[in-house]
Amino acid sequence: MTSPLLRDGDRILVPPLMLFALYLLMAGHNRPGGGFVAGLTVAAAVVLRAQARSVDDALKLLPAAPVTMLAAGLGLAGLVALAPILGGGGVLDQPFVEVTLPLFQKVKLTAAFVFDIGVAGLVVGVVAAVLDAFGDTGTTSSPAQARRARDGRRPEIR
Amino acid sequence: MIWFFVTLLTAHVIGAVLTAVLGTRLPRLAVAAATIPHVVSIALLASKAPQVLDGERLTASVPWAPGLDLTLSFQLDGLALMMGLLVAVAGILVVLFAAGYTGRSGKMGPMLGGLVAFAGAMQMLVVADDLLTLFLGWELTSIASFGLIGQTHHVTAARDAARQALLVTGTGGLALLAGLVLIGQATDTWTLSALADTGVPGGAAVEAGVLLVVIGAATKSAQFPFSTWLPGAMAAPTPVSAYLHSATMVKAGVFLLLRMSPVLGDTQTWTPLVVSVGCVTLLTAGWRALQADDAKQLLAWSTVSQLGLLITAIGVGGEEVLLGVLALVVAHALAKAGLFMVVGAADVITGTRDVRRLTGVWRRFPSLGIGVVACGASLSGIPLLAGFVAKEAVLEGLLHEGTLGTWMAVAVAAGSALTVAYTLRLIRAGLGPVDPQPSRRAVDPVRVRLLAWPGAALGVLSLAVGLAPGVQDGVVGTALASISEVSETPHLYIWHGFTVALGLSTLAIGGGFLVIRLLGTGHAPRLWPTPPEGTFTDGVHLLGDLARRMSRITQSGSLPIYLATMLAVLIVLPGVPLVAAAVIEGSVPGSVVRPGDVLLALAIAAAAVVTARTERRFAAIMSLGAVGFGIALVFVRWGAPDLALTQMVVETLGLLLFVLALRDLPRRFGPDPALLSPALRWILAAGVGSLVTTFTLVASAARTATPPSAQLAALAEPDGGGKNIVNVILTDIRALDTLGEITVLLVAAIGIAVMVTTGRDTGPSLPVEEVVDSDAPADPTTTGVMEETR
Repeated sequence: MTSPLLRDGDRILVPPLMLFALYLLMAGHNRPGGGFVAGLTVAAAVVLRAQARSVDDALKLLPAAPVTMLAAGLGLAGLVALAPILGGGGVLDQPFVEVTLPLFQKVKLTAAFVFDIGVAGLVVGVVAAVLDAFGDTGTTSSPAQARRARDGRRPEIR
Repeated sequence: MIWFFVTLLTAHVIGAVLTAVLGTRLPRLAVAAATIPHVVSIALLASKAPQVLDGERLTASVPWAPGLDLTLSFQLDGLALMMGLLVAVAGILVVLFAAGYTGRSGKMGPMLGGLVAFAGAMQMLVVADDLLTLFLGWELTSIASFGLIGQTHHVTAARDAARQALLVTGTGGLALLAGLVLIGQATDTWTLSALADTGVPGGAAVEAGVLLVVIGAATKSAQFPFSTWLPGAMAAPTPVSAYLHSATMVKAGVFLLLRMSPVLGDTQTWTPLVVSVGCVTLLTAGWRALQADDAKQLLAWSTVSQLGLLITAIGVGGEEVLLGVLALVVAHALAKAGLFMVVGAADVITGTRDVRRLTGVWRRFPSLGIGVVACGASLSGIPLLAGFVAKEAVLEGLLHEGTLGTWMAVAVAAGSALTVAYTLRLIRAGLGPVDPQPSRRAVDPVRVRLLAWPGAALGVLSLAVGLAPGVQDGVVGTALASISEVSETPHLYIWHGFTVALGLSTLAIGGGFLVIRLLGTGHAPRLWPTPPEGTFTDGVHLLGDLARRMSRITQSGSLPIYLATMLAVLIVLPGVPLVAAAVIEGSVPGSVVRPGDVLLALAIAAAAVVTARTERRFAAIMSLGAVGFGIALVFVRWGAPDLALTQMVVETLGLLLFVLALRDLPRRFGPDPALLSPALRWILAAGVGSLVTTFTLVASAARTATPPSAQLAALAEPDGGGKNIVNVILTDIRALDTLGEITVLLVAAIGIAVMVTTGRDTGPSLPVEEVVDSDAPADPTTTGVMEETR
């Protein structure tokens, strides 16, 4: 049913999309880009794969289950927000240091970058969670629902 | 000093998690893990006790949002020391009792973990100095108690009771918050210690604050008219009741009033309000306790009544009275926790809590007998026990407080008579002849010891404190010094001489015996109509029905109607004043228009028209995408690459998701729903279009101040360490906003996932699975149903 155009398009496009997302994330602080766009780009790649193959295959592109991505994303951002308290600073005081690494020369390491990673993770998680919930089509059960059926349904509580 | 408070609180957090994790599988370790936080509390408090007893007030604070003047601040003074020790000592005994109560089969982890978490919340409340820290601890105790009362969540009654407790104490918590804010605003002082020094001004705001604070305390301490949640909460396992409804949670209200009495004691509302609430509760709840046959209900109403006594006395106030109140807080906690444990033990051993069927239990298990007699005697104020010393001190103090004090002393004596009566009923119940039939339940002797000894220990402790009341002089006296002016070194006496107070005590004891003589073995008659059980739950259900009816009216379920409503509001609310202002100003400012923009705008408009007019879904989606990309081009032309980038990616993603959804939808749109006529649609569309255009023009020309963006741009590089201003704003300067936004995203994602999967759970997919499983030919009716549902 899937058209060859879509299948090959998926095969050729997904890796560079991922790379582009990585670039957007890394460059974000100084050039156009950032965690939000990077996350959306990954999400676009995931949805493309879901179109070309299946939602299950698409979710395999991600390092973790959608719920985990959601939790980890918000957790990371929250951690960056709260971490300065330990050092005696205020919430969301974000330090940055400039270090010189071989190959990259001068690199600015900012806490904001970590925050951005969290944002990206969460955005990907949101789209993935929606995909996971809806599944491939309306007729068959979605992965999330299949899991539920397998784990046994919770008893009804009034 | 801050490490003291951090250790105190984190010990409970760690203990709670550890206990819950070890749980039922490693019961011994779980019990140990649940005991350790209390031991840590006692050790910490003991280490600072010498300083506190010298009259020092130890404080520490952490600013957590200095920009908003929000600070977490703590204090350790005499009152905090006393309450903290009480919470921890009762905590250890309750943990041991709970171990016996649940036995091996029980769900030990969640309950013990909950108890530890609750103790942590209580400690936080006790050491709070900042008003909002106090509120935080207060609310945490409400939430923890919800989980604890609802422990047996498969029982409807337990769930209803937990919900009622949460709703009542939670609402009271909101009243308290409002009251604290009113007082804080009026004085511009947000710590208890500073408030105690400066006092509060008169005025309506402060008086309203007093009212709200007292409402908060009354809900927590189950005072009239909020009493019923506490007897309901007897659905909780007995260890929970022994802890929450004797020594800790319900004492939080008393504690709050004690803390507030030096601050608010001189306001006009305080004394009349507090005294009347306390006094009504003292007497009515005392009678209700006499009506109960369930021993736990009896104890619950007894607690309500005794708290009423304490609150009455706090309302009257005065140095001597408060000394008695503090001693009575301790004595009541010891006695009532003990009684709950004894009743719980009898419940486990005999399988009943009905006082008419407990016959012979105290004789069969002498350790239970010691507990019930000693604790009961202390509760009733029988001489030589802690309760007697404390009640004498309260009566003695009240008699020195003028007419109001004298009347209240009489009320306290009457309440005490009721206390003697219902306690006698409880004690006498188990003293009868031993049931010759062996108990239906064989209970392991180790378990019986764990069940009986904590109660007996509390009884012995009550006796010891009663015989040597001087041992508590130090702690209670320092606690008194932290809430009242102290003229001489306070001292608690076992013997005041032949005083009026002693006379009142004697009358109370005699009266109690008389009442029980008149009643015989039965329970007291109902003197006034009380709402039947379940009234509260019915009320909650009624509220739910009302909400459902409301949403049936407002939520038609039709997307066109929703959209039309929103757009109409948009046109009317900002639109009317905008047009009015434009008419008054006389002109709408122009803007820079470049030829390229005009072309772009025409293209976007054309795509939008196609989206609206086309009959095919796919075409609509594609042209909608064209609109989006056109707007991205506008961003590019006006030098906003970040915006353009995001817009493009969002459009792409949206397009992809739409196409994914398209698989399940018909190719063409159905006929237009007749709900909205085309004319109305045209009016709405034209209205919104012109409104947004006008608004953009006016808003961009109306600026008079320098835009803050210039400042942000200047800040970006040195402060945020990045050259991309947009990104620096998102991740650094306005990072809190971003954090909030991604939280909303997360919640939305969970909402979508739950909505979709829940709908499917009961949806048509199940019959299909069944058909496939059974290998039978497809059932025509099921498939028919499926098609219809789709």
